[in-house]
Amino acid sequence: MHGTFNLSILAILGICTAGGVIGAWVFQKLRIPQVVGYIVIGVLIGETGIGLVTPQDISDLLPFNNFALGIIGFLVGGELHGTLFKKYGKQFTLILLGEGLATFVLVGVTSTLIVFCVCHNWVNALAAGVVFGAIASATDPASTLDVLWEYRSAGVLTTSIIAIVALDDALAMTLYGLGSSIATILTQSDGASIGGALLHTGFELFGAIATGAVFGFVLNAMMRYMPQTERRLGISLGIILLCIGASVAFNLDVILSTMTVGIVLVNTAPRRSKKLFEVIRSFSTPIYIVFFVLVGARLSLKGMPAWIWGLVLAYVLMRSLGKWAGSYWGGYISGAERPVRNLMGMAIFAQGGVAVGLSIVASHNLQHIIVTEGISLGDMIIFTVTATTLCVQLIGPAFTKLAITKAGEIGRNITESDVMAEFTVNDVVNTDITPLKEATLLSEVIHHFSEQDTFVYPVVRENGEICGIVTFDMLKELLNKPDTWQWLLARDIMQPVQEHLTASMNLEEAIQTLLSIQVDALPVVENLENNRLTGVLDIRTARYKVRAELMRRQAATI
Amino acid sequence: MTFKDALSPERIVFLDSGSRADAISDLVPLLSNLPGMPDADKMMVAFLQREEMMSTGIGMGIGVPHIRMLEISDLVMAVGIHRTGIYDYPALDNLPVKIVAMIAAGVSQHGEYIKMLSNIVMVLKSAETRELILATSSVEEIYHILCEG
Repeated sequence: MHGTFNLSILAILGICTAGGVIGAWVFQKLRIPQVVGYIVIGVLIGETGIGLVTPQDISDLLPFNNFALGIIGFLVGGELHGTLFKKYGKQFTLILLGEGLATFVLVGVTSTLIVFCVCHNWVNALAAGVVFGAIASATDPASTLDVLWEYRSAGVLTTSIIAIVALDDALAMTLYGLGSSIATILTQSDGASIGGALLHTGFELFGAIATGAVFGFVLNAMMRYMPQTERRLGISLGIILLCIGASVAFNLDVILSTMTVGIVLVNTAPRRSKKLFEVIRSFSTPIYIVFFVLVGARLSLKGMPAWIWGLVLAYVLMRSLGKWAGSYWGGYISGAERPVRNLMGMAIFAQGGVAVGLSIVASHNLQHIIVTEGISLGDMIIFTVTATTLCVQLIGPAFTKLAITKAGEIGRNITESDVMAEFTVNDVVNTDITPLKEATLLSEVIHHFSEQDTFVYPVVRENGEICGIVTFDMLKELLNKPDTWQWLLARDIMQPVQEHLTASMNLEEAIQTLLSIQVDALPVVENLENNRLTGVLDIRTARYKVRAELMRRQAATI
Repeated sequence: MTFKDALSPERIVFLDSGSRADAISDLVPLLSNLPGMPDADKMMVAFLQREEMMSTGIGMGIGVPHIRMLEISDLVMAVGIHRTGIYDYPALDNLPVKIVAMIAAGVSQHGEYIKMLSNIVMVLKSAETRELILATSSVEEIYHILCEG
């Protein structure tokens, strides 16, 4: 016993998940992206707040953090079809270089000047500026994508954002590799060379891509022999975990390697992998929640000297300006569409895991350089990046939302399932079908089927109460027996109604009922009490109406 | 589904009753006495309800009273022969009904039920077969004629 109360890891995961959901709910009510809610809850329960989650807990949860990053990377990879790069490759490259390099230069120069004002040493100031510039160029893919997914965004800007944030890590790591080695050379520590740093960064980047590619091809090969979704899910998680494990073991970028797995899969087997990406996305929400709550909990803002807040402010402003101006420049040069050119910059303000990770590495490497009394260059980087991460994580998602709102891309990524979830049976029920009376002759029944475009007819009693259905399938057997047409009645051939649909029932639930009893259509009654027929719901017509509504909504957002 | 599957010689009777209702009530116990069948009253009501909607006299001297009920698990048949013809059994061609082929099936036996109905029509639409059935006095012989079709 240490005299302090320690929560178990499972309890911490529980607090993170439940707290994150509550935080997201509150922020959604305030029309702020839910990811901000997760991070704020993290800040409140973390070191800066009440300290419920300690640095030790966060360290213990590092494998989980890597798992979350792996899942994020895999899902991002799944969005990157080769056709996108064929179409927008030049545009993506120029925007990426524009926003990355502009941010690097603006943040680098400003930080150098501020640090010089504090320490009056050009070498140390320049070393700090180069590292800050490199770290600032990174964008957080996770929170940015979370906003896109939350608001079901789709369109040219959304596609470009996904590609840019996915590739941004690689650029940031390259710039950091260069920046940190320049910083080390400037401060004359161990004689590191730029060539060595480049080699190291190249190993990290290409190693991650090669690892991901190998695991991606292995996963694709294994999926060929596993048609069942459950098995595919199991093997995919296994492969993703192996890829994460290998990346961690060889100090490779986890997001980049798992993103490559996703890219390989979506480009080599787009149809086979479609369902898999859907399934993984469907259970990824709690993983995201815990990941972001831990991001917030990790941010430690205690004991920071006042002058660093000036540096934080300048960093945030210059980084935002760099992202916006650089994206505009890249978009302008590459001839990108207006929404991409004007709005891309504000959509990629978020800064997250990669920046924090690079700042931790930098703090280790540059701990020996003293900037001012009691503060090393390493400490300053950790403080500044932590504080700026908090700031931009709070404003970044809001700006991403603003960008996709201005581009009119919110709500365009809706699916049939979304529309069905909103519809009731009443919205798509076919009320034009005249029900058959029990005593209707078969010859008349056949005539009805030939006249109307339906595969099912309800049969009603004299009082209008439904008593059965006649389907086209039932008729098929009688079509070549005209002898029976003059004496068989609808009552003789109908199937008693075993399942009822009500007009107020949710459409998705109704379709599930149809599928579970393997019928194409069922009669719809006003309510279960009066059993009075309203019409017929058939899957074909329902899907047609849902698709029409989907197209109407998508067209309305253009 | 053939006569062999649904009928047995014990369920073939000669009718002397005059009316359609009497003929049906003579045949119903042959089916209701089989294991797993609903009681006779319930079946009687179902047959009469169906006849009320439209007569099952399909012409050529044939009547096919038929029902489907939830309680029935196997399709079964009974056959009644009325040599002079049932006077109040309306038929499509207005000829008196002399051969009554009664069918009772479960609600889920749509396929078998339709096949049996069409089999009855196919076998009995031959005037020669009908004459043979009406001429014989042995139920085994009638069973044989129906099964051989």
